[in-house]
Amino acid sequence: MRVHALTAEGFRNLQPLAVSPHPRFNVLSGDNGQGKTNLLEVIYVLATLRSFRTTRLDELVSFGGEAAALRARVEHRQSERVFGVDIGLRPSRKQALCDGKSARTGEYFGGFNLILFAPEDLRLPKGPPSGRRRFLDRAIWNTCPSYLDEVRVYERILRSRNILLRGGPGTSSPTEESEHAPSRSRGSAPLPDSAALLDIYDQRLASAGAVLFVRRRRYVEALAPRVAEVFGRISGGDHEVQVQYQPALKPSKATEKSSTHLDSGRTDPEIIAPVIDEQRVLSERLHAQLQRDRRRDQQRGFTHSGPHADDLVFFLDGRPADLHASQGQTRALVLSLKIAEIQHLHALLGDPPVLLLDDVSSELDRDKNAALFAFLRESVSQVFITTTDPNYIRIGPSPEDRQDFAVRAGRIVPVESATSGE
Amino acid sequence: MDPISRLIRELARLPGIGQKTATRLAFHVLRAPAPQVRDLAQALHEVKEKIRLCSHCMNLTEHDPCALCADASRDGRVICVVAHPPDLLAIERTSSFRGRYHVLHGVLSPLDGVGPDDLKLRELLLRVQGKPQHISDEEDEAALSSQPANQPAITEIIVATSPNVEGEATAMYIARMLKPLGLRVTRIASGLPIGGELEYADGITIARALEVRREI
Ligand SMILES: [Zn+2]
Repeated sequence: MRVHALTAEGFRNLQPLAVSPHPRFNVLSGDNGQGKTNLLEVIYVLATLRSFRTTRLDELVSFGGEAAALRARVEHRQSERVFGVDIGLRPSRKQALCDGKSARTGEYFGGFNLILFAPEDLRLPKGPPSGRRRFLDRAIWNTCPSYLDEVRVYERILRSRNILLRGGPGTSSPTEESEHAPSRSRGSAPLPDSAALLDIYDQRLASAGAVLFVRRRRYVEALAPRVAEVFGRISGGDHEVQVQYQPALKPSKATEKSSTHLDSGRTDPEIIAPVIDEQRVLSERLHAQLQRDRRRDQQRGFTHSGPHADDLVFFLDGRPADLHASQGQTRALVLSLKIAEIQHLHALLGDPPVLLLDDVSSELDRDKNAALFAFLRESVSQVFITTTDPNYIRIGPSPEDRQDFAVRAGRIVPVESATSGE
Repeated sequence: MDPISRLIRELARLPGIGQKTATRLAFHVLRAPAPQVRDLAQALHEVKEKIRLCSHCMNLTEHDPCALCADASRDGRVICVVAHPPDLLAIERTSSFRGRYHVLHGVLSPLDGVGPDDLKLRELLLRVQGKPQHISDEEDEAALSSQPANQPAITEIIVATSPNVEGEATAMYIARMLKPLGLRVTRIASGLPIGGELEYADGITIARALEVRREI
């Protein structure tokens, strides 16, 4: 995948912009606050219809402006499409366009995949589980556009169930209603009791949750060997790393603390079963769990089990990495994870995804930077890199592979010839 | 408040109409010939005065029972349950369904604070049980006397709510409510876009969805 042309108008602090990016390396240098990351954000919004920095549309539009228009001409396997996003504030709206025609999200995705690597990623192993779930969700969505809808459906069911747990509509006066007490309408026919609605949402949550469990498990299983392999290379083979998906679903009463068990999940018989069976089994297990938890869930007012509480755990030489890995090892781990994500997506799409690197080099030491750029040189991806100091960017011997841009006060200007090669 | 501001305020309360549009409409009304405005005012008034719910199917109607419930050629054994009146119209346009309807006037939605008591679910249960439905205080007599003769027993309920989270939950709830009575409860087949609205689906899709339905 390559972005051949990029335009943006009315976006954050960026001046109206028209760039023809280099098919390989695009290096955006400038001081902080000048708009480097805004350009990455333009590309990100075009590929995903959302920002990685905010969920508020008004932040994306220039101060005092009312609309923004973004376009990218993208090549994917010898064919070109123009992706577009129009953002309006009055009324607040976001319109996706494909080759100039308005497109529904289902039609829009596919043909423009990218992976972002940002400083926040370096905190993944030691940060909160929500960050790791976000990583998983973004990565899986790249491999499977329908995943977004599956997550949305799950989240909607979850929020509905949580409302019912706290005594939402149809669950009022649970004791009276179960005795067929006449209700407020005059017909006085007994409707199903209050638990019925919660039962229904348990069932729906279990089946929607099982879809996510299966997708996440499959993804991590595919990713794990790549992460281990890349980490081995970066760390010179001195250490061993393992990545493991940890679903928020108790395997059985005996192994409550599955996070400390390296083999958890791997020997479950249902892994071998076909996807449908796997989904059914997981759905039944989650359903049983929800029913067991109901009392506790009702007392606390939220749902304890399910994919929304999943985690991704890392082990260094068999020990939990969040506790035992040094800062350097943690960064090597994240680097391996991102590289594995890129390799996996490339293999799946048969086309290298576009890469956005937001000022990560300044966070990595010399060796890891070298490892990162060695990988980037080897990969054939188009890369957009922001940096405060172009000297961090060690792309290597052929300056013809690189286009530098200077970013200042929202203006992005190509820098003539490579004065800052190596 | 002066009459123009009052009109603008009332118009702006309608869904999808903002202050700007309301103002434009108000001035349009002001410029229009008097008889036209009188007709509009009368139409607004009448729709509220004359339109009520059919005491059988809960659809909006001027006459009770509604034309669909009064039509003897329709199959009273099969009831298609829809969320809103426009869904009923969408199915009617396909001419593929010859049974009767029941309009819920909504779907179960905890997120929007809509529970079973807020929908015409109890009315559906009573109808299926063959009991008269008491829907409003003044209409009781009329509702009883207007019961179409020879109502056959209802054997199948087709739930045609939209295939989204709320529509599915509502369908499951209806199944739970009616299955104990020995009824066949079916759901229109998917094929409708996930999360899509029935109201906007095309006729062929709706017809096929009705044809290929599955038991809940
Ligand atoms: Zn009727």
